[in-house]
Amino acid sequence: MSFETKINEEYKWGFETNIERDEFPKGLNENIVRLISQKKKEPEWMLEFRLKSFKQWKEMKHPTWQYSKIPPIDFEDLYYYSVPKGTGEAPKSLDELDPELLATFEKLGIPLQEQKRISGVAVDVVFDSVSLGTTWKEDLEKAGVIFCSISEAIEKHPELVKKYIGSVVPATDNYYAALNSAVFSDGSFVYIPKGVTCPMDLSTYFRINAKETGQFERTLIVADDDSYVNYLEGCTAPQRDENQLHAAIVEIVALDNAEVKYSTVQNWYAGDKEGKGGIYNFVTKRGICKGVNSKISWTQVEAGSAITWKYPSCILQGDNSEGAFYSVALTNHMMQADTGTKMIHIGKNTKSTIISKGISAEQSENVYRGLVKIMPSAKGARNYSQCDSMLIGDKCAANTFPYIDVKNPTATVEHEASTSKISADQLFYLQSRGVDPEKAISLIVNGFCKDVFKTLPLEFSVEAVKLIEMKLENSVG
Amino acid sequence: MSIQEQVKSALSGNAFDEASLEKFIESGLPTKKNELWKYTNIEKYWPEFDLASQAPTELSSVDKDPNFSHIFFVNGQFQANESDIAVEVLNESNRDRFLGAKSQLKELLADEPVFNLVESQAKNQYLLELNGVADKPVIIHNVYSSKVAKHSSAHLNVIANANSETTIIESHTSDDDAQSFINNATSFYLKGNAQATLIKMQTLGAQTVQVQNIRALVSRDANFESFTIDIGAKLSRNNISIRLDGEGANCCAHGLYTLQNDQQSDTNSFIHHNRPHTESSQLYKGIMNDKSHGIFTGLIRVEKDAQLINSDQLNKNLLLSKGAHAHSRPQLEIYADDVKCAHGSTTGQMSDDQVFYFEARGVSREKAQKLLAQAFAYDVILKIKNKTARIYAQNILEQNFIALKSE
Repeated sequence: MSFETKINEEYKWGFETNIERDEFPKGLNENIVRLISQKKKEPEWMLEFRLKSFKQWKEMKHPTWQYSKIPPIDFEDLYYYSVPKGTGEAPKSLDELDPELLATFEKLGIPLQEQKRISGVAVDVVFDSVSLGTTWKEDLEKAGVIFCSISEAIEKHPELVKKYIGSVVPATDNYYAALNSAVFSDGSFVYIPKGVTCPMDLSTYFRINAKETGQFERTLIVADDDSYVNYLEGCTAPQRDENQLHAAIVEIVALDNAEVKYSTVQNWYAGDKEGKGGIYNFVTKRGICKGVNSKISWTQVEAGSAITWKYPSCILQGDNSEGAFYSVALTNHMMQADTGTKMIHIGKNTKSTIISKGISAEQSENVYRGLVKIMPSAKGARNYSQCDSMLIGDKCAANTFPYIDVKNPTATVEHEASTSKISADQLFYLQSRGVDPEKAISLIVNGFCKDVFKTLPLEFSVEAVKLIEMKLENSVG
Repeated sequence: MSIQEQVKSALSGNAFDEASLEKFIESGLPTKKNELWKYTNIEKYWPEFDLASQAPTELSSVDKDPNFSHIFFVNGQFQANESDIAVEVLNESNRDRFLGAKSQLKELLADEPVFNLVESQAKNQYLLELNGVADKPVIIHNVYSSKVAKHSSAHLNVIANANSETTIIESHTSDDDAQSFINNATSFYLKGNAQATLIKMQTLGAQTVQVQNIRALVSRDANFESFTIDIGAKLSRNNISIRLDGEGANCCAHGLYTLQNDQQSDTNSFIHHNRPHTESSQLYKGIMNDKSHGIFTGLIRVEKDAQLINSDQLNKNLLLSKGAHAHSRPQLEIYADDVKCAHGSTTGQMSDDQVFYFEARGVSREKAQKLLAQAFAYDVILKIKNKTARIYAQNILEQNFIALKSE
């Protein structure tokens, strides 16, 4: 039995908003970096941070170790700053936003105006290079939570930003981290003060709209002692024939007993069947469990982007700290995904869990790449990794490249992985009970991903299930 | 003189395979930037390249166990007088019989600089043909006395003819104070329905460095099994590349490294499922004591139209001491959908519960640990099908465990 997958469903978020824009000329040079900083009215130290990063980036070479085939990117042919007209200045109240913009987010299912919201999820919305606004601000302020765009944070809370920015992902970390550190235009900032459980889930929604624009946003989350936050991230982009670059950085700092949950549903435009167009999603995400008993968990559903290249990681520095990584990566058409995680165990009795599920269909390539490193100091460290891949169709590829380095004898590290095709027995079982093949495949795939989906917040979990279903629509058994 | 220059001046003009020499001169020795050599800095162990001193010394004593057929090599050179089986020198006239028949064999380890170096050297290229079902296993004794030879290199090409069945033990021994850099290769070409087992028993002296390149091209319904058992040497590195090139071809690649002091063992295995209906299985186990490092990198690749594959790979490491390190990289690259591939890796210390179980029954802690480590290691040995060979390997391992102590 062959399962030739024909995924004809259009990318329904692929529309483009026609809106007047302010943008800097194409190309990347020190001037552009200065202009961005100037536009944001940034203090001197921020400009220095950017210039230093830019200098480092210029000395770096594009990495070649990755599995994905990345066509050369012309960094001179990109807009590094593009904002809808009138939003370039300090964030205004949501009422003053262009109705066209509000309609865009309405269409995406994210009503920005708070009055329209029934349930409480605070959203920070990033459109191309600028954060448009943050909902539920007052309620959060009451709890002492700071949730705003990073530009606003640089202005209003410079001491916090200065202390933590670049502390988890230094500018020298990698090529795209350096680039982002130089030209990042906006992003979200979260600070949860001591002992506070964030009263609602926080969320950022990223939207790329402008043509030939790179999106470089930066998210910084600081969870002080004994705090808790649940953070969600979503993204979409218009459907275009050319590729667009998205190079973001997410940094998380968890202090003593703090817990941060970060969930992503990534649905950037993935290009068409022939692999034309789509977003290059090159993201550096890393969290540090600095304090004792702290916890960071990454959950991701990667369903979009022409090329995904990201490794949400945890540095487990505090004793008894815990890191987790749950991932579902679905690739179809000509998509390439190279994703995984790094767990660096430094503190005593640190624990990490990795569950990764890869599904490749059609001519796509799906790679899990991970590192579990137990340092000599990590006494009693524990890791469990499981990476399973499922193949649908005979032209796709699934690869697994785990690295396991153990330098402490008291550590226990387990890794297991399997690759197989969708089970004919299971399909037959369902079909013989009257379930049509398409539905059966969807059921099996959902079951395959259950371990990850159950860690997602409810709304995201529903969205993820739907997304996977939609992507696998018209699969012929 | 740089390493490339040393090699160039020694081999230029009289290389066995000019293309390989060119490749080596271009690449030089692998550095840590080469992903397959990430954990081993081979250059550190590289002495002056002086082939002239690669002269054999006399075999001091020959102890022939009647249960085996024997072949002797000293410093890489064949010893016809003592050996029971004739090994031909590979030259222009018989070269085509081996390499010409299957040019695919040339593709195996073609990008491995260390192997290219073996292929560059005209000296010590041998050919062994296996026919029929061997009545007893073959031991190839590789003896190294490096008071004279710093570098030693030899390449044994083995043709396992159709329907043949042979078990070969490759034993590597040297004096304790010998300081050799041994760079060897064993290449197998298994014709239809042939069965060959290669057991590398390495108990070299603590100052030696050994790189062993194992290649195998496995034809239809043939079965190749390789065991790399590393007990001695300062550094031992195995480059294993097996291609399953016919329907019904099977292979096993198992390994064991028991290390102490500052020993290092690095295994890189590559199993290439090039045709449908092929199977492979791997089990690598490591016991690391003191400050030793055990490294395992294993890649299974399933080609595009190679459907109906069964493949598994398991790496287990036991760390006995604080300074001991284990690195494990089990990897899968799969381009076909109707496959069953699994890999696993575990690293840990000895279970306290198990030790306690023994202690509660009056077995001393020390003895319990020894027994448990031994049991852990025997999993690999028990996979050797030939009984005579299995007992031989078991005996050697047992001697090694007498000295085992754990924290």
